[in-house]
Amino acid sequence: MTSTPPPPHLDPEDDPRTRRVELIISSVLRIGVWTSLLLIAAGTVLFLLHDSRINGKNLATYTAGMQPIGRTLQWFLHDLASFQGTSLILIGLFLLIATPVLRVTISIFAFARQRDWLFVTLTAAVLVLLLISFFLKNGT
Amino acid sequence: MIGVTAAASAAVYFTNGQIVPFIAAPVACGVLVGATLGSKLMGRTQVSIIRILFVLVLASAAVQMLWKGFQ
Repeated sequence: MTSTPPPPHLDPEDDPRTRRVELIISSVLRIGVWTSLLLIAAGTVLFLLHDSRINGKNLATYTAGMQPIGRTLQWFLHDLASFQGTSLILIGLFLLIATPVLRVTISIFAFARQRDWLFVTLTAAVLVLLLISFFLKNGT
Repeated sequence: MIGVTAAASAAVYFTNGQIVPFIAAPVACGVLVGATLGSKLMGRTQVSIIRILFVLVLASAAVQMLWKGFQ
């Protein structure tokens, strides 16, 4: 099966507005990814520096998930304020996960400006599903 | 890097606290730096070299898995 390229006058790449939206999306993705990398790397360094008792032996208890991570806001703020690193890693991971959600949100506005209502509906449905997944709780 | 589809499942794991940050952190750093370097290098590397490297990486991963399985 061969796919024929679209005729030049229908190529969305030629539309300067489409091009602009693509550039905005690409910079959002780039900024999101690099900021999260920065946070995760800083968090890891802080985590390793914070506790000199961490050595090759007990590091395994952390990577195996045996060390419980606090789930309360109080724990989070304390960890953040005392520069223990774990909360920074979590913020970075959250940003990494939130970046594509942001990208979908921008796409909705982009399609709305192009008055492509079918794609506005479809993209909005994707966004709703993504947001639902943030509130899903497993049964256990 | 996380795509739109992966974000849906990652969000479930994240909000349920099933992501171990001390595993996810090095993985995320490696993936982000590796993907950036890889996409920049790929354009000017010969296909045969990439193929050989790919085989070596997969083979070492396979040996590692086998080793862990037999222990």
